[in-house]
Amino acid sequence: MIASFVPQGAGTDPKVLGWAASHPLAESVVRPLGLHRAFGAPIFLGCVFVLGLSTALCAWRRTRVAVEKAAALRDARAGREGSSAERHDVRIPVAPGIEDSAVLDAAMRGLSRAGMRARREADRVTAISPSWSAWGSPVFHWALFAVMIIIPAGSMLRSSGQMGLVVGQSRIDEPAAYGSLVAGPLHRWPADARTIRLDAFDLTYRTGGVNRGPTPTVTVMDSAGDVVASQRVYPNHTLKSGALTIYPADYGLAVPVRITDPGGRTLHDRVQLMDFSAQTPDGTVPVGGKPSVDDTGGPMIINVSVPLDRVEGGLAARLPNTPRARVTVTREGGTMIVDRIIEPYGETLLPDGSVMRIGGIGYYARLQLVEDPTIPLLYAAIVIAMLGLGVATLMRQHIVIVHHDAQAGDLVVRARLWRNVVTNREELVSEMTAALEAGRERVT
Amino acid sequence: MNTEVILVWAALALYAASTAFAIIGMVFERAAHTDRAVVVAAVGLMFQSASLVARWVRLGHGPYLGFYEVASALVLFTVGTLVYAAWRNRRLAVSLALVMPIALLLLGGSMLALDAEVPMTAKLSSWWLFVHVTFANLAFGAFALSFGCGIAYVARTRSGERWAHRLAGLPAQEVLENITVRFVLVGFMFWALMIATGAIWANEAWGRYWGWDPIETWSLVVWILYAVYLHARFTLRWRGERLAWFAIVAMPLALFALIGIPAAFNTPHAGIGGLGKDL
Repeated sequence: MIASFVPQGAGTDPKVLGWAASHPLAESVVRPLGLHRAFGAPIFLGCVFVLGLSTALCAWRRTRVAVEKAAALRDARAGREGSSAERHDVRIPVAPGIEDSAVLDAAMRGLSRAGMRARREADRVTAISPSWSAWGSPVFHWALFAVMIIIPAGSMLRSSGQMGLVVGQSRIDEPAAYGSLVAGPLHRWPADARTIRLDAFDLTYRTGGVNRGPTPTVTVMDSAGDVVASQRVYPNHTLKSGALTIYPADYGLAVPVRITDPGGRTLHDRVQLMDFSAQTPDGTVPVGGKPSVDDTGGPMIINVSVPLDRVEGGLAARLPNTPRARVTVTREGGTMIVDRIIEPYGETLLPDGSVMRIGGIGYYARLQLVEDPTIPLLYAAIVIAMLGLGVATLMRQHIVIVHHDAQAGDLVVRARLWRNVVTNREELVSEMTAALEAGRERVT
Repeated sequence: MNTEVILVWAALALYAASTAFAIIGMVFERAAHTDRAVVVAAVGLMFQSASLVARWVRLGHGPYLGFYEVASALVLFTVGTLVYAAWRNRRLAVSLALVMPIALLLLGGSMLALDAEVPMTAKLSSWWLFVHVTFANLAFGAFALSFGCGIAYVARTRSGERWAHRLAGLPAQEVLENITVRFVLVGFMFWALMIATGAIWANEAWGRYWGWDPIETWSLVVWILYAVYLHARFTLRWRGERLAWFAIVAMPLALFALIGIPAAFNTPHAGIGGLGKDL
């Protein structure tokens, strides 16, 4: 509960640093307690472990109870009432002169008024739950335990990362292709590597009356180059291929950058990706580092950005009609030695005589790729848990058997009220007594 | 004033009238007034439903977005559950005096934000939203009734003869406790379905089924709290006033999770972000 009010993340995370700066007193308590990484802290995980063990123990106990209850319900339905039921006998006096069938009809009415669905048999009235009603709770608890096992197993088998692609580009799905990647220790990359290709990128895509925003069209191909799956990817419309799911994460700008030395040898040849950033003067920030070339003065760090219009809005809204690239070259100490604007497909001379050429300025799509083979198991466990919980919640568990002991002149009630019943034994007796009295008045 | 606004004001007025009838019926022990409270609440429910339908047609999405829509939907399901419970078991009609004031205050408060319209976004445009929110509303309706029954139980236990007489129309204490437990159990089930559908949807939409964001965390906290209640009842055999107090204290936390957390934090469930790499 406390951790939900504290930003979660590493100590260098900007939102953590920002919160710490604005709440110094609270930070003096929060940081030593490790509350910025509360949900991965050993004490929290220890508590979760204990919760899992107690869930398993509870499931075991509920299973044993369910076995007994289910047997009792089956016996009751088959007319094999166990001797333990006799301990719950209640006898309601019946006025003389009322026929057996009228007595049982009154009992039916009484049970109905008490909220029970009764069944009339030849010589008795019964309200007995089906035997499967006893299994809701154990099924729920075992399925919940399964969820608690599958989740950590999934985190060990799962990989989740982001990959940037420009239109027409394809990359083999392997760790080197990702910009950021978190893979569990048991995750195995497929032996027959698949390829991810970006076929198209629509800045806006409207369907179902909703603007889906920047929408890439992604294709997954197998190792033979055959298309396995291909579709537009937008929120709530992900691309699935086996255990792999591809989501749209973000988008940015892409500029091919090529640097050749005076002899024509290629020193650098990559597509520079840029993300939108409201914090930088130009509005864009390079992704994945800046190229660097050496000359007699030492390394020159080259920064390529695309200056955006100074208007309200995000990347697409602020992109100029004719975007151009801004190239700055600095020494390692920060001394600026070049600051130029280059047209698309233009070039500029660097201080050491090398030439930097840029291509057309376009968009790149950042895709989130998640591979988790445990998801179907998790979904199955959740569904089973919900079914078990539904049975445990909605199904009443009771055995009520009423028969007329004509010799003694009593209505004999055997009631075992276990769960989800909205009445009690006193109320049952009261309702049946009232129904008998009403029946007697009709007779007289 | 457009139709939608007129309808919701009419609903508010009817809920106020129902509250008045219910309180008068309870305090002055007039069963006829209590019955009128149920009928008036049912009529108010129809007006509020019509108002929300009109808004749905106008905006193109259901009552899921923004404080007014969320709070109004919670009130709709609470009053709906109350009316249904009173119809099924006439003895529960007295609980309107305890629960309708909450519904009235919540609807009245939500109308301060009546004009705020939140458009449907691509992130939320999914049938999962309808399913997820419906379960949340059903859960809260059940929890609200457990709250009312808990208050009635405690009031009858602690009050003098006069108040015990006023609440005599309710079921016997043991039966009232069983009913309270039943409402908690139903609410627990729907709350679990809300969490489960939310997790499945989050995985389908964002690639992670749980991110410990404040709404997810507090939903789980409330669910575990009610799980403790149920285990206290079924395993530890808790009975009586302490169980009733548990139901009374837990419901405001559920309301906080549904309304307070979204008001305090800039989420629902922030999406995933990160950096790519140059090629």
